[in-house]
Amino acid sequence: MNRSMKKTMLMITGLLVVVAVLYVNASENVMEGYEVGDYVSDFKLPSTTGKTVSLSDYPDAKGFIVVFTCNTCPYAKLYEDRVIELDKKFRGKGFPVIAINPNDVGQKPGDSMDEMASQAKAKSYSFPYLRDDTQEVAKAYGAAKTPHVYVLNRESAGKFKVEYIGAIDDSPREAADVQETYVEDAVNALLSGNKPTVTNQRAIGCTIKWKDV
Amino acid sequence: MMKITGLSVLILLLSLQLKAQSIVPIKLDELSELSKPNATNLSVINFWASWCGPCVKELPYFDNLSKKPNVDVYLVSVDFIQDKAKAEMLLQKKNIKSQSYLLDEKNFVEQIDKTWSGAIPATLIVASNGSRYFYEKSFSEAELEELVNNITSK
Repeated sequence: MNRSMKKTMLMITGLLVVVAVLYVNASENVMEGYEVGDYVSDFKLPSTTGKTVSLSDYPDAKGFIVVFTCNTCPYAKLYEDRVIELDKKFRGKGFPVIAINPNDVGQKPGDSMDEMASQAKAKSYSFPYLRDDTQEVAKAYGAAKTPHVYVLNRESAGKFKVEYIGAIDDSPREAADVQETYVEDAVNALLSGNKPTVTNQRAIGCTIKWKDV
Repeated sequence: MMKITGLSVLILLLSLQLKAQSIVPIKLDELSELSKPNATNLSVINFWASWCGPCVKELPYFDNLSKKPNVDVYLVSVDFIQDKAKAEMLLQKKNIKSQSYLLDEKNFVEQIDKTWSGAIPATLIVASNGSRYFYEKSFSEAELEELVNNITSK
């Protein structure tokens, strides 16, 4: 290797290092997790009924309404009845609700499996209420708060694509004042073979209580 | 004598009542006015709600920041407008004196910052040079102080 080649190699290596550093820094700023258009990995989480639940347990599902929620967040509480209604409305049409509670029980004892089970029983949840103890599913999805909804659509057997991320509707406090039903609209669009018009709608919520690393 | 004391106590109570912290409802355009860079001061805009425990905990830290000479602190409640009185009582109870607003809008999260998921507490800091810093997290008092000092010294 002659001198100029060495120099070129050195420059290329240097450039690669710079690119790598820039890349790492840039990706730190980007929110991790799924975005609309991404395919999701299946999960296996314990439910309040003692069973474990995976997407693959629903061979007939056309899609899912995955709701990250909890017992303790005032916003999640405001939406509880509406989540129950979503399942009643869309389970029969092939889009069941799956609720996942990712909160660290150490910080929120009210989100323990026992408390979740009493809540699910008291309100007769028709959908599974799962505990994400390792918080890996919430991280994979990029869930940041409760409630945080992901509408998934089946493209082929076992392949589900994220089609909507965000809020359930535009009126957290008063169900009567709702004007925009984002999740319903997204599911209805998918049921009729279309893409949702609104694919992202962010709203206020409670930060997911992450375990201390 | 007793009567006069009683009267002064009454007047004192009344004046306290008048000075009670009030929250001004605003819309997004007013908020964007607040978040425009100020020529001399750093603007610290904290988003909170009366139902959010971690938010309420850090309110005094933000309030203390406003005592710094070159920092303007704005507390923006994202409570529902119907809960304004509740938020005001909380500020009063905690003796928070910073300028306080309630953002009375339905959809605003993305307009405030593209990276915001909507989880609170969240804080927007705008430097005089126009740089904007957004944090979706809670702060300890020391962290907040250090952050503001770092940004100010940039």
